[in-house]
Amino acid sequence: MLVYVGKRLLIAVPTLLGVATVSFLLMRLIPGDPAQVMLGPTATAQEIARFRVQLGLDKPLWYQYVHYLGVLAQGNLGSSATTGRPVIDEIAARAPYTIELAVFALLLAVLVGCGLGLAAALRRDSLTDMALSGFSVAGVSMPVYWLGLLLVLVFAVKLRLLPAAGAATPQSFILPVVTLSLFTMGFISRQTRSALIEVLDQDFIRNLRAKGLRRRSVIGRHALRNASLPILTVIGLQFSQMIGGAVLTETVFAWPGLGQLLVNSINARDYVTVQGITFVLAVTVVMVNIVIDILYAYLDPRIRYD
Amino acid sequence: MTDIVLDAADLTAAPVARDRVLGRLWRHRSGRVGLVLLAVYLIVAVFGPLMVLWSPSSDVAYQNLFQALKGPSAQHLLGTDQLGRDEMVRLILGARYTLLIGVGAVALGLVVGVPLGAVSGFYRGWIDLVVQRIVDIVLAFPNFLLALALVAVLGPGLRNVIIAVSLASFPRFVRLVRASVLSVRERPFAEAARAVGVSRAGVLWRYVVPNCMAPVFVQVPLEVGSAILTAAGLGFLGLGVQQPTPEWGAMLGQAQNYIFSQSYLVTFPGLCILGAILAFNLLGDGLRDVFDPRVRAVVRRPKRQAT
Amino acid sequence: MSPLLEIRNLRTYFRTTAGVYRAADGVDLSLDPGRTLCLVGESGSGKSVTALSVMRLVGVGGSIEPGSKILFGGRNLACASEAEMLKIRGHEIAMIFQEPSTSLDPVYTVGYQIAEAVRAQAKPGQKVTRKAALQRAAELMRLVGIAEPQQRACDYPHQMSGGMLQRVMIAIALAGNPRLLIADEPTTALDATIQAQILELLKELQVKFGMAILMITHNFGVVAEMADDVAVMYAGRVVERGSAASVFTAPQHPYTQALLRSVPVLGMTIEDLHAIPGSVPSPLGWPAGCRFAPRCQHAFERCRLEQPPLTAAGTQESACWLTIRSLDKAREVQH
Repeated sequence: MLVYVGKRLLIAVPTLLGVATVSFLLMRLIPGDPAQVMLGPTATAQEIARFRVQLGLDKPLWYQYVHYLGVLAQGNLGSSATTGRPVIDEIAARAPYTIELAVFALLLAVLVGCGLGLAAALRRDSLTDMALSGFSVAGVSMPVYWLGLLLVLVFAVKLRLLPAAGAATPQSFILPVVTLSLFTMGFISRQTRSALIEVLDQDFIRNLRAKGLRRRSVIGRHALRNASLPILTVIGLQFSQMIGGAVLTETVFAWPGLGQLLVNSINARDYVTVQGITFVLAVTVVMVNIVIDILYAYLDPRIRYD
Repeated sequence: MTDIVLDAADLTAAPVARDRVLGRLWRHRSGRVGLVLLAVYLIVAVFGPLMVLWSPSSDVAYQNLFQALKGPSAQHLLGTDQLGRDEMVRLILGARYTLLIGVGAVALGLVVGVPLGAVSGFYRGWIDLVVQRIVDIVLAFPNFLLALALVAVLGPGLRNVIIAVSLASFPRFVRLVRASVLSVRERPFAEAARAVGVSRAGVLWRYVVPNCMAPVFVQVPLEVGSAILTAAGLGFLGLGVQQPTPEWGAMLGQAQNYIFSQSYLVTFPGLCILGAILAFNLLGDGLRDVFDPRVRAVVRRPKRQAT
Repeated sequence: MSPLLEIRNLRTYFRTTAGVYRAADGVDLSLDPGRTLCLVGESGSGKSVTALSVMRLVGVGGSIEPGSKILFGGRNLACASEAEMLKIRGHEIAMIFQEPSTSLDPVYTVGYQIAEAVRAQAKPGQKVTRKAALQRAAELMRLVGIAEPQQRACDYPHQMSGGMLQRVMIAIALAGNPRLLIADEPTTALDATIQAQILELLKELQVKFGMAILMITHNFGVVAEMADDVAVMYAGRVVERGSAASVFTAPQHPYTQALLRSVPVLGMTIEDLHAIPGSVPSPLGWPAGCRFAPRCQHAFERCRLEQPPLTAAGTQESACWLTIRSLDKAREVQH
């Protein structure tokens, strides 16, 4: 098992390196002079020149790359072009909001999604199943930003039950979480359904009933346990998707997280911050996937004892 | 379980030729809905702009602030937006951009991804390693985030949106094609082609690749749906096709400012986006079932019998 | 001695989008306590469906038609409730299956799965602790010939060979001390030497526990090794049944005769191979009349019109108009 963990972490290193490289290249893709673009049309030539040196743009490319990797390893993401404060501080201040949003949305999506998928798998081809199918397809086809706006329309504007934006009250948590969770909920319910159906079709399920177990035990103790493996894989992929959704959700609800910071930075042409946030979010996704892989190996004896 | 899996001899199935896929898709429940929806969108995208030439709003530069933010009426069926333009006309005009971006991004993804996957899976060696690493790294980024970052640095506009969105789909095509190629290249007919003197490249492009395309075809509509979702998201943030060109995501983004008063501005662009994505997702689901080699012909009875 | 299991006119149908699939269509069987009945037939003859029908595990889409009788322990299992069947499965009737590598849950140890069977078979009110169940599991593993049961109990199914897994399956089956063991081609997926070991084991256990065995097979070698009685199935029905000795030496039904003739023997040449011409009809549309008639050398008019019932012919029974015709003739001669 430890060998697997070691191997898995080792494989992650080139990926993380690649993520850092892509982040580095992002800045170099800016058409024209990045320093000028970031400081805007009002900046003077001296300010631009100074900023160029600050960004290290006067050095050769390979030097910049090595330097970038070096400071990155120390946890330095540069300073914001708009506020001048260290990017890492800005991220640390806002990260809890995004983490909160993503974690709860994921939890909601997994719990409800698995429940719906289970119900659909057990009542295959019935009306319940078809309704659930329809719900899942709608869920994965629904743009998260439109859903957010619709929910705001219904609950904040028309019914005046919940706040439309911000993170002021505990209730302002509800709509963003529900909005963000819907896509993943639809996806997970489909995957749960098909994973369960596939497991239930296996020989050993019939054999378990032949030894006198009731359906309930067979499903609860055996089918779900086996189905949890493919579902876990899906959850890992969905987390990545959810981060993207979080950016949009935070925009709709003015939720003060990393997503909102990202969009604001883009509008303000603060590419240092954009680069920093992109890197941090991508690294988070990679880490979460590593954890899920390890969890998977732990749950599946065929991988654990190889 | 003793599900009855009937083989071809039991069913009076005709051989699967390419033109029959459409027929089978039509008979498939969600496939049919997808096809119909897609047809509607295509018609609107192609003929729509011609059909609304009578309206002054069909000119993208048109503005009429006296008519701004009026609700649905006989004159403007879906109301007017903040610059007085007829909402319905703009929605109809917007159809072609949405479809263009979706199809364009996926086409680009195919053009890049299929050859990469084919070469990677066929020749193996260091090219496989390099391609695999690139794919892993691109897939490590959340899809939307990468597209957003790219459009942020490259600048908004139709071309950049297509490039940014296609970056999400090409890795998936690479993996799909590579996996298929890995198994198809082992098949006897590939060896036979070599034995007859076909060059390695010839075997790859004329024999192996055509036999690997089925899973790619199934994935294409799903990718288009995903591309539309991403592109409209970028438009929502104001980073897509720029004003005054009508694009559904951008229209939705603008509408957010008026949600308290003119809620209809929020409803309709979103509905259009949903419909488009739904059409492609249903189509993709239908295609996947149609290409499923196992024909399961057991009807489940809703009531439990004495089993 | 009354039979332990008696099946009369068992019909199990599957309703599909392509029509009604009559997998078992009038099966008659009888098994006495402590004896072994081998159910023989080609693929598609309905043997497995018959066995699953006894356990009422036919699977979604299939149903046992009214009028079917599965008589066991004074009850008709065909219309027993699920609660009643729960008491029967594992406890009175146990079943082992063909493919050992997919027969067990891959995420639990074999020890756990045997212990699970032990606990499932506990009498209501009787609490079996985990420890006690695992102890019993180790005992059962020793009983079926698995060396070092304590260590083996911690293995996962993918770590064990086919033969070992089949022994585990047998251990599970024995957990409830069943009166009847149904074995659906238990050795087909195993190597020849392991096959022999498993069959030996089954015979041993049968003597030790006084179980009856219903063994499904398409291999006459297995029949020769195991059977006290034989029932031959074709196209969803039993066409001949009787003691193994009499069916082997004097088969009455043309299908049985053709089957026995087609078994290759060492030393034969290719000219000696007898195949049965034609192929098995589809369960979606059985032909009218005797189902073997299209392939039978001796078929005559009546064969194509009416289905022959199982009729006593000497010490066995055969469903053939030839038999009935010659019996009638014999009776005429007597008068």
